[in-house]
Amino acid sequence: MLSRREFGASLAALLLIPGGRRRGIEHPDPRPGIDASGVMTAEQLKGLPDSVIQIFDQIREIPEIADGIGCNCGCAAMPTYRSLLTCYHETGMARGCEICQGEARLVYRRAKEGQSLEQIRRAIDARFG
Amino acid sequence: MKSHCLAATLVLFLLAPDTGSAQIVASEKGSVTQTIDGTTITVRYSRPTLRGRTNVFGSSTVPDSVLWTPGADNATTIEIDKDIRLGGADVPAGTYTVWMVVGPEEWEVILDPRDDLFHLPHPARSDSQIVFTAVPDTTRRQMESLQFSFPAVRSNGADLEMWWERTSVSMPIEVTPSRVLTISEEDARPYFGRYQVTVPAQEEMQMEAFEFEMTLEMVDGHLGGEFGLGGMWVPEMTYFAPAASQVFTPVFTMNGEVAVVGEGMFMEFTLNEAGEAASFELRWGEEDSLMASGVRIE
Repeated sequence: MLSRREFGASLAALLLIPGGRRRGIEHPDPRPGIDASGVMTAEQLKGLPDSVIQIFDQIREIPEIADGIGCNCGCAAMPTYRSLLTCYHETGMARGCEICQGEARLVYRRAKEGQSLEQIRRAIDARFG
Repeated sequence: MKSHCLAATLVLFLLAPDTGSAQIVASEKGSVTQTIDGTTITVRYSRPTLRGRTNVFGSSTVPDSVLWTPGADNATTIEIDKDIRLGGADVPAGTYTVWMVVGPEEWEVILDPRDDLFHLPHPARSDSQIVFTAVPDTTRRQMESLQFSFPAVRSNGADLEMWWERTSVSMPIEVTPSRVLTISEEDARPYFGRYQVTVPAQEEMQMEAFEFEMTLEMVDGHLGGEFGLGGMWVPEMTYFAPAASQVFTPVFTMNGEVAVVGEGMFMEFTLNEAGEAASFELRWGEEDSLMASGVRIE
Protein backbone atom coordinates (compact mmCIF):
# COMPACT_ATOMS: atom_id res chain seq x y z
CA MET A 1 0.00 0.00 0.00
CA LEU A 2 1.43 3.38 -1.01
CA SER A 3 2.06 5.77 1.90
CA ARG A 4 1.28 9.48 1.70
CA ARG A 5 4.97 10.27 1.49
CA GLU A 6 5.36 7.83 -1.36
CA PHE A 7 2.36 9.42 -3.05
CA GLY A 8 4.02 12.81 -2.73
CA ALA A 9 7.24 11.43 -4.16
CA SER A 10 5.41 9.78 -7.04
CA LEU A 11 3.62 13.06 -7.72
CA ALA A 12 6.98 14.79 -8.05
CA ALA A 13 8.23 11.95 -10.26
CA LEU A 14 5.23 12.37 -12.57
CA LEU A 15 6.36 15.94 -13.15
CA LEU A 16 9.46 14.71 -14.99
CA ILE A 17 7.34 14.03 -18.04
CA PRO A 18 8.37 16.63 -20.63
CA GLY A 19 5.95 19.11 -22.04
CA GLY A 20 5.84 22.59 -23.46
CA ARG A 21 3.68 25.65 -23.85
CA ARG A 22 2.49 27.32 -27.02
CA ARG A 23 0.47 30.47 -27.72
CA GLY A 24 -3.30 30.01 -27.14
CA ILE A 25 -5.87 30.36 -29.93
CA GLU A 26 -9.11 32.31 -29.67
CA HIS A 27 -12.23 30.28 -28.93
CA PRO A 28 -15.23 31.09 -31.15
CA ASP A 29 -18.79 31.37 -29.92
CA PRO A 30 -20.69 28.20 -30.83
CA ARG A 31 -23.19 28.77 -33.64
CA PRO A 32 -26.84 28.53 -32.52
CA GLY A 33 -28.40 25.31 -33.73
CA ILE A 34 -25.09 23.84 -34.92
CA ASP A 35 -25.17 20.10 -35.43
CA ALA A 36 -22.82 17.28 -36.30
CA SER A 37 -23.97 16.78 -39.88
CA GLY A 38 -20.55 17.82 -41.21
CA VAL A 39 -18.56 15.41 -39.05
CA MET A 40 -17.03 12.63 -41.15
CA THR A 41 -18.80 9.31 -40.93
CA ALA A 42 -17.35 5.91 -40.10
CA GLU A 43 -17.71 5.02 -43.77
CA GLN A 44 -15.58 8.00 -44.77
CA LEU A 45 -13.02 7.09 -42.11
CA LYS A 46 -12.60 3.50 -43.23
CA GLY A 47 -9.06 2.28 -42.82
CA LEU A 48 -8.22 4.57 -39.90
CA PRO A 49 -7.54 3.11 -36.44
CA ASP A 50 -10.57 2.47 -34.23
CA SER A 51 -9.19 4.90 -31.66
CA VAL A 52 -9.39 7.73 -34.22
CA ILE A 53 -12.87 6.76 -35.41
CA GLN A 54 -13.96 6.79 -31.76
CA ILE A 55 -12.88 10.41 -31.42
CA PHE A 56 -15.00 11.39 -34.42
CA ASP A 57 -17.96 9.61 -32.76
CA GLN A 58 -17.31 11.54 -29.57
CA ILE A 59 -17.25 14.89 -31.36
CA ARG A 60 -20.48 13.88 -33.11
CA GLU A 61 -22.11 13.74 -29.64
CA ILE A 62 -21.09 17.27 -28.64
CA PRO A 63 -21.12 19.53 -31.73
CA GLU A 64 -22.42 22.53 -29.78
CA ILE A 65 -19.41 22.36 -27.44
CA ALA A 66 -16.80 21.51 -30.06
CA ASP A 67 -17.99 24.52 -32.08
CA GLY A 68 -17.05 26.74 -29.13
CA ILE A 69 -13.47 25.51 -28.88
CA GLY A 70 -10.53 26.74 -30.92
CA CYS A 71 -7.96 24.31 -32.28
CA ASN A 72 -4.30 25.03 -31.60
CA CYS A 73 -2.86 23.14 -34.54
CA GLY A 74 -2.44 24.48 -38.08
CA CYS A 75 -6.17 24.13 -38.81
CA ALA A 76 -6.71 27.79 -37.98
CA ALA A 77 -4.72 28.84 -41.03
CA MET A 78 -7.08 27.00 -43.35
CA PRO A 79 -9.96 28.96 -44.92
CA THR A 80 -12.46 26.21 -44.03
CA TYR A 81 -11.57 26.32 -40.33
CA ARG A 82 -14.00 27.74 -37.83
CA SER A 83 -13.65 25.68 -34.65
CA LEU A 84 -12.56 22.29 -33.32
CA LEU A 85 -15.80 20.97 -34.81
CA THR A 86 -14.74 21.89 -38.35
CA CYS A 87 -11.46 20.03 -37.81
CA TYR A 88 -13.67 16.94 -37.93
CA HIS A 89 -15.27 17.85 -41.23
CA GLU A 90 -13.94 16.47 -44.48
CA THR A 91 -11.98 19.68 -45.03
CA GLY A 92 -10.36 19.42 -41.58
CA MET A 93 -7.17 17.78 -40.34
CA ALA A 94 -8.40 15.70 -37.44
CA ARG A 95 -7.87 12.40 -39.25
CA GLY A 96 -4.12 12.71 -38.84
CA CYS A 97 -3.54 15.50 -36.32
CA GLU A 98 -2.56 14.68 -32.74
CA ILE A 99 -3.54 18.13 -31.52
CA CYS A 100 -7.04 17.97 -33.04
CA GLN A 101 -7.44 14.52 -31.52
CA GLY A 102 -5.93 15.44 -28.13
CA GLU A 103 -8.15 18.48 -27.82
CA ALA A 104 -11.23 16.47 -28.76
CA ARG A 105 -10.47 13.78 -26.20
CA LEU A 106 -10.13 16.38 -23.46
CA VAL A 107 -13.23 18.31 -24.56
CA TYR A 108 -15.35 15.15 -24.66
CA ARG A 109 -14.14 13.96 -21.26
CA ARG A 110 -14.85 17.30 -19.61
CA ALA A 111 -18.20 17.70 -21.35
CA LYS A 112 -19.29 14.33 -20.03
CA GLU A 113 -18.22 15.44 -16.54
CA GLY A 114 -20.62 18.36 -16.89
CA GLN A 115 -18.03 21.12 -17.04
CA SER A 116 -19.01 24.45 -18.54
CA LEU A 117 -17.70 25.66 -21.88
CA GLU A 118 -15.53 28.20 -20.04
CA GLN A 119 -13.99 25.52 -17.84
CA ILE A 120 -13.27 23.36 -20.88
CA ARG A 121 -11.74 26.30 -22.74
CA ARG A 122 -9.39 26.99 -19.81
CA ALA A 123 -8.34 23.34 -19.69
CA ILE A 124 -7.60 23.47 -23.44
CA ASP A 125 -5.62 26.71 -23.10
CA ALA A 126 -3.45 25.29 -20.32
CA ARG A 127 -2.60 22.13 -22.22
CA PHE A 128 -2.55 23.16 -25.87
CA GLY A 129 -2.21 26.94 -25.83
CA MET B 1 71.08 17.90 -38.58
CA LYS B 2 69.63 15.13 -40.69
CA SER B 3 68.26 13.38 -37.57
CA HIS B 4 66.62 16.65 -36.42
CA CYS B 5 65.00 17.08 -39.85
CA LEU B 6 63.80 13.51 -39.76
CA ALA B 7 62.33 13.96 -36.27
CA ALA B 8 60.59 17.21 -37.27
CA THR B 9 59.18 15.58 -40.39
CA LEU B 10 57.95 12.64 -38.36
CA VAL B 11 56.17 14.94 -35.88
CA LEU B 12 54.55 16.93 -38.71
CA PHE B 13 53.38 13.68 -40.30
CA LEU B 14 51.84 12.55 -37.02
CA LEU B 15 50.02 15.86 -36.65
CA ALA B 16 48.46 15.53 -40.11
CA PRO B 17 44.62 15.36 -40.13
CA ASP B 18 42.96 12.00 -39.83
CA THR B 19 42.29 10.59 -43.30
CA GLY B 20 39.65 8.16 -42.10
CA SER B 21 41.53 5.38 -40.39
CA ALA B 22 41.98 5.20 -36.59
CA GLN B 23 45.01 7.09 -35.38
CA ILE B 24 46.55 7.86 -32.00
CA VAL B 25 46.77 11.65 -31.77
CA ALA B 26 48.42 13.91 -29.22
CA SER B 27 45.17 15.60 -28.24
CA GLU B 28 42.08 13.47 -28.67
CA LYS B 29 38.78 15.12 -29.53
CA GLY B 30 36.23 15.60 -26.80
CA SER B 31 32.84 17.24 -26.47
CA VAL B 32 30.24 17.95 -23.83
CA THR B 33 26.60 18.92 -24.26
CA GLN B 34 24.17 20.25 -21.70
CA THR B 35 20.51 21.18 -22.03
CA ILE B 36 19.11 23.71 -19.59
CA ASP B 37 15.39 24.44 -19.72
CA GLY B 38 15.26 23.85 -23.47
CA THR B 39 18.53 25.64 -24.31
CA THR B 40 21.30 23.33 -25.54
CA ILE B 41 24.99 24.18 -25.28
CA THR B 42 27.79 22.06 -26.79
CA VAL B 43 31.54 22.53 -26.38
CA ARG B 44 33.78 20.71 -28.87
CA TYR B 45 37.53 20.66 -28.29
CA SER B 46 40.70 18.66 -28.47
CA ARG B 47 42.15 17.57 -25.13
CA PRO B 48 45.81 18.35 -24.61
CA THR B 49 47.47 16.14 -22.01
CA LEU B 50 50.17 17.14 -19.52
CA ARG B 51 52.51 14.17 -20.04
CA GLY B 52 54.80 15.35 -17.25
CA ARG B 53 54.51 19.08 -17.93
CA THR B 54 53.99 21.31 -14.91
CA ASN B 55 52.92 24.91 -14.33
CA VAL B 56 51.46 25.08 -17.82
CA PHE B 57 49.66 28.40 -17.23
CA GLY B 58 52.01 31.35 -17.35
CA SER B 59 54.69 29.23 -19.02
CA SER B 60 55.70 28.69 -22.62
CA THR B 61 52.84 26.18 -22.95
CA VAL B 62 50.17 28.79 -22.17
CA PRO B 63 51.88 32.17 -21.78
CA ASP B 64 50.31 35.04 -19.86
CA SER B 65 48.63 37.81 -21.81
CA VAL B 66 48.52 35.87 -25.11
CA LEU B 67 45.39 34.53 -26.79
CA TRP B 68 45.11 30.75 -26.40
CA THR B 69 42.36 28.34 -27.32
CA PRO B 70 41.59 26.01 -24.38
CA GLY B 71 42.29 22.90 -26.38
CA ALA B 72 44.52 22.00 -29.27
CA ASP B 73 44.55 21.68 -33.07
CA ASN B 74 41.24 23.19 -34.27
CA ALA B 75 40.10 26.00 -31.98
CA THR B 76 37.63 24.99 -29.31
CA THR B 77 34.04 25.86 -30.21
CA ILE B 78 30.92 26.52 -28.21
CA GLU B 79 27.53 26.07 -29.91
CA ILE B 80 24.44 27.66 -28.37
CA ASP B 81 20.96 27.19 -29.81
CA LYS B 82 19.24 30.05 -27.94
CA ASP B 83 20.45 33.39 -26.61
CA ILE B 84 22.12 33.09 -23.20
CA ARG B 85 24.24 35.09 -20.79
CA LEU B 86 27.71 33.61 -20.28
CA GLY B 87 30.09 35.04 -17.71
CA GLY B 88 27.74 37.99 -17.45
CA ALA B 89 27.92 38.78 -21.19
CA ASP B 90 25.02 38.51 -23.64
CA VAL B 91 25.77 35.75 -26.14
CA PRO B 92 23.36 35.38 -29.08
CA ALA B 93 22.62 31.89 -30.36
CA GLY B 94 25.34 30.61 -32.68
CA THR B 95 28.69 28.86 -32.78
CA TYR B 96 31.85 30.59 -31.63
CA THR B 97 35.50 29.68 -31.24
CA VAL B 98 36.68 30.04 -27.67
CA TRP B 99 39.87 31.86 -26.68
CA MET B 100 41.35 32.81 -23.36
CA VAL B 101 44.01 35.17 -22.13
CA VAL B 102 45.43 33.82 -18.89
CA GLY B 103 46.80 35.88 -16.04
CA PRO B 104 47.67 35.34 -12.38
CA GLU B 105 44.55 37.04 -10.96
CA GLU B 106 42.05 37.19 -13.80
CA TRP B 107 41.52 35.60 -17.21
CA GLU B 108 39.82 37.04 -20.24
CA VAL B 109 37.45 34.79 -22.16
CA ILE B 110 36.88 35.73 -25.81
CA LEU B 111 34.21 34.26 -28.09
CA ASP B 112 34.96 34.82 -31.78
CA PRO B 113 32.01 34.46 -34.21
CA ARG B 114 34.23 32.63 -36.70
CA ASP B 115 33.59 29.00 -35.85
CA ASP B 116 36.26 27.39 -38.00
CA LEU B 117 39.66 28.59 -36.83
CA PHE B 118 42.86 26.71 -36.03
CA HIS B 119 44.75 27.24 -32.78
CA LEU B 120 47.29 29.23 -34.78
CA PRO B 121 47.39 31.98 -35.81
CA HIS B 122 45.51 33.65 -32.98
CA PRO B 123 42.65 35.83 -34.19
CA ALA B 124 43.08 39.56 -33.95
CA ARG B 125 40.91 41.40 -31.44
CA SER B 126 37.74 42.81 -33.02
CA ASP B 127 34.44 44.41 -32.04
CA SER B 128 32.57 41.32 -33.20
CA GLN B 129 34.07 39.29 -30.38
CA ILE B 130 32.29 38.81 -27.06
CA VAL B 131 34.58 39.32 -24.07
CA PHE B 132 34.17 38.66 -20.38
CA THR B 133 36.42 37.85 -17.44
CA ALA B 134 36.76 34.83 -15.16
CA VAL B 135 38.74 34.27 -11.99
CA PRO B 136 40.99 31.19 -12.05
CA ASP B 137 40.96 28.68 -9.23
CA THR B 138 44.53 27.40 -8.90
CA THR B 139 43.93 25.03 -5.99
CA ARG B 140 42.38 22.09 -7.84
CA ARG B 141 43.68 18.58 -7.89
CA GLN B 142 45.61 17.54 -10.97
CA MET B 143 43.61 17.20 -14.21
CA GLU B 144 45.81 15.34 -16.67
CA SER B 145 43.81 16.12 -19.85
CA LEU B 146 42.10 19.46 -20.37
CA GLN B 147 38.40 19.09 -19.60
CA PHE B 148 35.24 21.08 -20.18
CA SER B 149 32.23 20.19 -18.07
CA PHE B 150 29.01 21.53 -16.54
CA PRO B 151 29.52 20.65 -12.86
CA ALA B 152 26.36 22.46 -11.74
CA VAL B 153 23.05 22.60 -13.60
CA ARG B 154 20.15 24.71 -12.34
CA SER B 155 16.62 25.28 -13.56
CA ASN B 156 17.65 28.63 -15.05
CA GLY B 157 21.34 28.13 -15.82
CA ALA B 158 24.51 26.20 -15.20
CA ASP B 159 28.24 26.59 -14.65
CA LEU B 160 30.60 25.86 -17.56
CA GLU B 161 34.05 24.91 -16.32
CA MET B 162 37.40 24.53 -18.06
CA TRP B 163 39.96 22.59 -16.01
CA TRP B 164 43.57 21.64 -16.77
CA GLU B 165 46.44 20.79 -14.47
CA ARG B 166 45.53 22.43 -11.16
CA THR B 167 43.67 25.43 -12.59
CA SER B 168 40.04 25.84 -13.51
CA VAL B 169 37.84 28.69 -14.56
CA SER B 170 34.11 28.66 -14.04
CA MET B 171 31.78 30.60 -16.32
CA PRO B 172 28.18 31.04 -15.11
CA ILE B 173 25.41 30.55 -17.67
CA GLU B 174 21.92 32.06 -17.53
CA VAL B 175 19.29 30.88 -20.00
CA THR B 176 16.05 32.50 -21.08
CA PRO B 177 13.31 30.75 -19.07
CA SER B 178 10.89 28.68 -21.13
CA ARG B 179 8.00 29.89 -19.02
CA VAL B 180 7.13 32.43 -16.34
CA LEU B 181 6.90 30.92 -12.89
CA THR B 182 6.12 34.10 -10.96
CA ILE B 183 2.85 35.99 -10.54
CA SER B 184 1.91 39.44 -9.31
CA GLU B 185 0.27 39.67 -5.91
CA GLU B 186 -2.77 41.25 -7.54
CA ASP B 187 -3.21 38.30 -9.89
CA ALA B 188 -2.54 35.79 -7.09
CA ARG B 189 -4.87 37.31 -4.52
CA PRO B 190 -8.06 35.52 -5.62
CA TYR B 191 -6.36 32.22 -4.82
CA PHE B 192 -5.02 33.08 -1.34
CA GLY B 193 -6.62 31.09 1.42
CA ARG B 194 -6.94 27.73 3.11
CA TYR B 195 -8.26 24.71 1.28
CA GLN B 196 -9.33 21.23 2.28
CA VAL B 197 -7.69 18.91 -0.22
CA THR B 198 -8.96 15.43 -0.98
CA VAL B 199 -6.81 12.87 -2.73
CA PRO B 200 -9.00 10.07 -4.10
CA ALA B 201 -8.02 6.44 -3.72
CA GLN B 202 -5.51 5.47 -6.40
CA GLU B 203 -6.09 1.83 -7.27
CA GLU B 204 -3.06 1.59 -9.58
CA MET B 205 -0.81 2.93 -6.83
CA GLN B 206 -2.63 0.90 -4.15
CA MET B 207 -3.30 4.03 -2.13
CA GLU B 208 -6.29 4.87 0.03
CA ALA B 209 -8.03 8.23 -0.15
CA PHE B 210 -6.79 10.88 2.27
CA GLU B 211 -7.23 14.56 3.06
CA PHE B 212 -5.01 17.42 4.08
CA GLU B 213 -5.09 21.20 4.34
CA MET B 214 -3.29 23.56 1.98
CA THR B 215 -2.73 27.29 2.47
CA LEU B 216 -1.98 29.41 -0.58
CA GLU B 217 -0.21 32.74 -0.21
CA MET B 218 2.47 34.85 -1.81
CA VAL B 219 5.95 33.30 -1.49
CA ASP B 220 8.88 35.16 -3.08
CA GLY B 221 6.86 36.30 -6.08
CA HIS B 222 5.14 32.95 -6.47
CA LEU B 223 1.72 31.59 -5.56
CA GLY B 224 2.74 28.98 -3.03
CA GLY B 225 2.28 27.91 0.51
CA GLU B 226 2.26 25.31 3.20
CA PHE B 227 0.88 21.83 2.92
CA GLY B 228 -0.52 20.21 6.03
CA LEU B 229 1.08 16.83 5.54
CA GLY B 230 3.56 17.45 8.35
CA GLY B 231 6.51 17.74 5.99
CA MET B 232 5.62 14.56 4.19
CA TRP B 233 5.64 16.17 0.75
CA VAL B 234 8.79 15.53 -1.18
CA PRO B 235 10.35 17.98 -2.10
CA GLU B 236 9.77 20.75 0.43
CA MET B 237 7.62 23.35 -1.27
CA THR B 238 5.30 23.79 -4.19
CA TYR B 239 4.64 26.91 -6.17
CA PHE B 240 1.85 27.21 -8.70
CA ALA B 241 2.90 28.86 -11.95
CA PRO B 242 0.28 30.46 -14.25
CA ALA B 243 -0.64 28.19 -17.18
CA ALA B 244 -3.92 29.76 -18.40
CA SER B 245 -6.80 31.72 -16.91
CA GLN B 246 -7.57 30.14 -13.53
CA VAL B 247 -5.18 27.27 -14.29
CA PHE B 248 -1.77 26.73 -12.70
CA THR B 249 1.06 24.23 -13.03
CA PRO B 250 2.76 22.91 -9.87
CA VAL B 251 6.43 23.76 -9.49
CA PHE B 252 8.37 21.71 -6.97
CA THR B 253 11.38 23.19 -5.21
CA MET B 254 14.21 21.83 -3.09
CA ASN B 255 16.14 24.07 -0.72
CA GLY B 256 14.63 27.14 -2.32
CA GLU B 257 15.54 26.18 -5.89
CA VAL B 258 13.16 25.05 -8.62
CA ALA B 259 13.54 21.28 -8.98
CA VAL B 260 10.89 20.37 -11.54
CA VAL B 261 8.01 22.07 -13.34
CA GLY B 262 5.00 19.86 -13.86
CA GLU B 263 4.15 20.63 -17.48
CA GLY B 264 1.60 17.80 -17.65
CA MET B 265 -0.09 18.65 -14.35
CA PHE B 266 -2.73 21.34 -13.95
CA MET B 267 -4.48 22.93 -10.98
CA GLU B 268 -7.80 24.22 -12.33
CA PHE B 269 -9.65 26.67 -10.10
CA THR B 270 -13.29 27.74 -10.19
CA LEU B 271 -14.17 31.17 -8.84
CA ASN B 272 -17.19 32.21 -6.79
CA GLU B 273 -19.35 35.25 -7.46
CA ALA B 274 -16.95 37.42 -5.49
CA GLY B 275 -14.15 36.44 -7.87
CA GLU B 276 -12.37 34.32 -5.25
CA ALA B 277 -11.18 30.78 -5.85
CA ALA B 278 -13.81 28.45 -4.45
CA SER B 279 -12.47 25.08 -5.43
CA PHE B 280 -9.93 23.38 -7.62
CA GLU B 281 -9.09 20.11 -9.34
CA LEU B 282 -5.56 18.83 -9.87
CA ARG B 283 -5.41 16.96 -13.19
CA TRP B 284 -2.56 15.06 -14.78
CA GLY B 285 -1.50 13.41 -17.99
CA GLU B 286 -3.05 12.33 -21.26
CA GLU B 287 -5.85 10.54 -19.44
CA ASP B 288 -6.63 13.80 -17.61
CA SER B 289 -6.61 11.87 -14.35
CA LEU B 290 -8.02 13.56 -11.25
CA MET B 291 -5.16 13.55 -8.73
CA ALA B 292 -6.78 15.74 -6.08
CA SER B 293 -9.55 18.24 -5.50
CA GLY B 294 -9.86 21.08 -3.05
CA VAL B 295 -12.50 23.29 -1.49
CA ARG B 296 -11.85 26.67 0.14
CA ILE B 297 -12.43 26.58 3.90
CA GLU B 298 -11.06 30.06 4.74
